[in-house]
Amino acid sequence: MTVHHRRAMIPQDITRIQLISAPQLSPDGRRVAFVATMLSEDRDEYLSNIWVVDTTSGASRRFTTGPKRDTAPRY
Amino acid sequence: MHAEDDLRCLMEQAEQLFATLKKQRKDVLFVRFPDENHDMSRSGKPCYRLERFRYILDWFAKYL
Repeated sequence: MTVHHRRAMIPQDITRIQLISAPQLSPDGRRVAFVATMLSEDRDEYLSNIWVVDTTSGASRRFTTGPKRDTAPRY
Repeated sequence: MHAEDDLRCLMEQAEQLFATLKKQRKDVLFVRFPDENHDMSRSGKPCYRLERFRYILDWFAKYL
């Protein structure tokens, strides 16, 4: 069991927010590719990779590992 | 706190507010973020977003 301790938000927390965008459904409808963006404090910029989620199981996995901004997934 | 390139709410409005509060001798801190627009708190430069957050917390820690 995971215990979540409630606490007030602190500035560092904005680096933990994942922004999800640009969903693309695969032709067979079994997967959705999307972009996950996060704020990097070290690099003072936004970094994004493409992820793919299985529409049946809901399991998601990172699809690209580019160091900067991977965007606009297309099937 | 105001973004310099906010075209929705012009910086001039913040300047008016600051000047008026100063004239009334209220405690006021004016923070200007260069090269940022109206969307700064949501999609602006990360270091500015962090700084803005810290200014807010510091202010309330001091005055509340």
